[in-house]
Amino acid sequence: MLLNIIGRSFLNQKKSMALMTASIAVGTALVASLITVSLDVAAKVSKELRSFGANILVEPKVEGLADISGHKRYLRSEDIAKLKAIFWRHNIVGIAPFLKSDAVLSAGGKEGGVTLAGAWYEKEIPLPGEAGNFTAGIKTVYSWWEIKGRWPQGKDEIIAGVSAATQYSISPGDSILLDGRRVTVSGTLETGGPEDGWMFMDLAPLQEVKGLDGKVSRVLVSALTTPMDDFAYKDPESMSISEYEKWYCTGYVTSIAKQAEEVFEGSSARPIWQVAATEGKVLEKISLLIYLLCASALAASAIGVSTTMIMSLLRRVEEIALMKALGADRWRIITLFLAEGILIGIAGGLFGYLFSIGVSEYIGLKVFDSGLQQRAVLLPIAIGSAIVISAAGTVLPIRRALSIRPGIILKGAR
Amino acid sequence: MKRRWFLYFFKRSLSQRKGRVAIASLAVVLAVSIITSMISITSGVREKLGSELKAYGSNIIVSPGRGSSFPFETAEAIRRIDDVEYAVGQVFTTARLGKESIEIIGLDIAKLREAGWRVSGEWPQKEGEVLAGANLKAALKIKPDEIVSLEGGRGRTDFRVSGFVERGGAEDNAVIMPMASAWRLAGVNGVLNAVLVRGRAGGLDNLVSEIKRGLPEVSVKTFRQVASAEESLLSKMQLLMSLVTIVVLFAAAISVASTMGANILERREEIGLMKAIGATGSGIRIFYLAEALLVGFIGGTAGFILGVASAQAVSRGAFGSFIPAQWYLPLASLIIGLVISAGASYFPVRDVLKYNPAVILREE
Amino acid sequence: MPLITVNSIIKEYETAHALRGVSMEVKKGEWVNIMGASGSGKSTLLNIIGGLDSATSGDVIIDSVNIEKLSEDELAVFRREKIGIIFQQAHLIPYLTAVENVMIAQYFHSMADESEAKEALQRVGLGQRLSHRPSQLSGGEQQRICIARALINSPELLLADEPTGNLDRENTKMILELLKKLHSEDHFTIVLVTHDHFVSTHGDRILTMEDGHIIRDEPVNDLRS
Repeated sequence: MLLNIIGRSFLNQKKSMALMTASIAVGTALVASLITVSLDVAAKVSKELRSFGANILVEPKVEGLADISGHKRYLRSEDIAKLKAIFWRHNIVGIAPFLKSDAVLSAGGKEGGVTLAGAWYEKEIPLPGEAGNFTAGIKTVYSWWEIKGRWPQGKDEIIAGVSAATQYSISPGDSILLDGRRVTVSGTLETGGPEDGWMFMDLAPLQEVKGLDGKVSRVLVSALTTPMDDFAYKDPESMSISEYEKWYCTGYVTSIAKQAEEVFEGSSARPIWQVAATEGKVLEKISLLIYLLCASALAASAIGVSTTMIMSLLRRVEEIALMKALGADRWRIITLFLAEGILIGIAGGLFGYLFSIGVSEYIGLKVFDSGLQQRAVLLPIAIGSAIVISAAGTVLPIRRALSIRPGIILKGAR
Repeated sequence: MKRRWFLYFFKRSLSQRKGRVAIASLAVVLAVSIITSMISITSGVREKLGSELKAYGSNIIVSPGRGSSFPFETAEAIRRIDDVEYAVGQVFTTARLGKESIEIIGLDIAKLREAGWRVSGEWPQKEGEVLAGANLKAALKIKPDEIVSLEGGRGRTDFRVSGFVERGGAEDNAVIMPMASAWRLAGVNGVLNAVLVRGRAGGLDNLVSEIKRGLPEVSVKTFRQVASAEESLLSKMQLLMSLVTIVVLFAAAISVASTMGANILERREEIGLMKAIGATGSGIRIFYLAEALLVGFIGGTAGFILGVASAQAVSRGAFGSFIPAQWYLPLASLIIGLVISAGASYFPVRDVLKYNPAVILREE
Repeated sequence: MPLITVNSIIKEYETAHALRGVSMEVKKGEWVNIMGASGSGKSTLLNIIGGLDSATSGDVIIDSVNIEKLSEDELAVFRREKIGIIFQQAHLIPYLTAVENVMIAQYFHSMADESEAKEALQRVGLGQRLSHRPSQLSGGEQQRICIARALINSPELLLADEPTGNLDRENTKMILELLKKLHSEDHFTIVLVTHDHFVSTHGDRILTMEDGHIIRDEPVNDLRS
């Protein structure tokens, strides 16, 4: 495209103007799209990671040793919706309550005890105090769960963990007895974790069967968080009031956990550190990586654009000499060429910005399946830096041209 | 002879136009260096970021296939397999604390520190010191340095709780102690109940089958939450870097094209003249191609050095370690330098050659 | 048989007709001047004869070869073997010295030969200026390099497009003397485009062009009388 421009037009002036504008536009587009990517990448990756497991665990508060070995204490399921009313409600992207209970399983001629968990798979919950719903359930915190067979439909279907399924020779589609009640196994689940030994069924029927209406034993919460820093690791109890306020109003995983704890009666909410600690670190690295790339691309494209400007203007040395010969003073020549450089900078910056929207949008869609946030503030920055770069590229050739006696240049020396 | 004169005019053209050649070379150096550094980082990002994910913890759990334990040496055997970043043996047992039964986890405490666990209080230093989970702290209402009395298979032992851990997992309900203490408490020796393995992200399936091949009697499971999160993150990052590399490559190529294009525009008259005095198209092309190749060579070589240096600087900055060099990188840099430089001057020269010399000379 | 036969040449540009059917002949050893106002098509005609430009239609036969039918590369060979061109602007390569500017024409023709190139420059009176660059030389001197370059490969035909257009009377006379010598002693065939009546008094024949046509064809002597 650009190469054709070079050969096409007869008017050299227009040609090199186009060349310079294109070069600046491409440089600006590169930098602007990298900035767009770098500003958004942490948020995108963080969102991406959030679907790979909850980072906050809400459990009934432990009062004595007996609470640890048994699961006799519960949270109220009516408190779940309140999570969407806390200060950081918009950061909560997944909620999954579980009710753990013991059941007797008989299948394939064998009988034995098994952990039976009641859960939501994917459930629409009305937002508290607002119109609309939000989605909660296993799929919002464990998007990676793969069910061999299919997800259960209705209250008579269950999922069997793969170890339990192997132990009792259960395959998807089989019919088994749980506490004497006949249910169908719609699928099996393998996570590599303790869930492999469990059975899952819909929460409400389990609550009913067990006589535990409105009770859940734990709630997993997936929240978008601010990476932990040194301040965040301070013990909230030793903070001054203003520090505590700052901590409480920052989206650290610990402060969101604290707010979750406050909405569940008799609860204790803790970050799942394995997830929370890694994420912060990884996100920091990724952002830093992209920033550094951005900086090196910025430097390279600035110099790249300047070389184009210099090359293009060097051929106009004759023109400058002629102006000088016609009596133009230095100042007038400099003003003229700088004005031209600024004009090219404006045009290049504008095109570059527009071009960068396409590029970064494409990258966002390709990598994260959603567009990146486009920032209008980049437009003046893009134009501003394009002007600076193009003006900088203008200075060297003009200085060179001005330092040569016009007579020599007009005779053909370059 | 013909070649000698070609070289003569070629040298003249270079030595009299040093500034132009330097600017063109600079453009190529920059283009090649940024592309080289992008390629270098893209190919290293998987590994670098993968090792950052170490903190995610183990992604494979090896447990006894039959019975409830296997020899201590199993962890050693697993550690020897390639692609195993670490393998931590664990001992699980229970002990009575008062009337209640609680979980005991025995492992190498130093490994927890390495993995970045945080402890409120102190890490166990001396024999008989242990960590307690956050739930135990709440249940027992104890403070650091208090003594708990645990009753295991070998009778009652007193332990000093030096600190507490909060993980949001099963550890929160357990007492964590050095492996030897757990063995002593349980009345066993030299056995493990599980080995937590961290395999290099991306090759887990292979690793699982390799462990199974080497140790047929154990059960190997992938911890899918960690594995799938890592895999997805790494492939996204690699895709991101690849796309950014392509964008950078494109931008760099355009930048070189416009610099070289401006150079050829400047020399239109010269090209027209050569044509007018009877030079053939190929005779002219070869002149400019030679210069472009030289510029490409300079740019490719210097760009490689600069690019590797900047990739290492970026890697140092972001990951605190160097990226291993790829064998193909010097070659790739050189080829990229030659191709973009030659391409950037070939096409404008070809376009100028399309015109009759009369047209070009009239313009000047 | 004439050296140049031009047969009803038409040259159209996008917006205008430059040549509207021009036919002419030039015999070997003849010096023909083409005169006319600016825009009359005289330079276009010269460029087409020299193979620097192609006609929209018509034939140009030089030394029994129809150059309108030649490929790009054949045309390049034709230009370097048969034609020597002198431009209004010398069109010298700025970073080469005088002798190198001559040698590059030798190089594209066959083989660069420094002593031959020096000799050619001595013939045009630039023996003392061999290693000066174009910017260090006067317009007349630059034009003489251009002539030396045009002669170096012993062409059949010398084409000159306003060779004195940028020169003062003194330098013009010098260039014309040079051409006269080449014409009479070395029997070069010369086609010269000019709008200068003084220049056109040299040579054998004058073609006058107007609006893309040749309107007059007369011997130089007639004009003088």
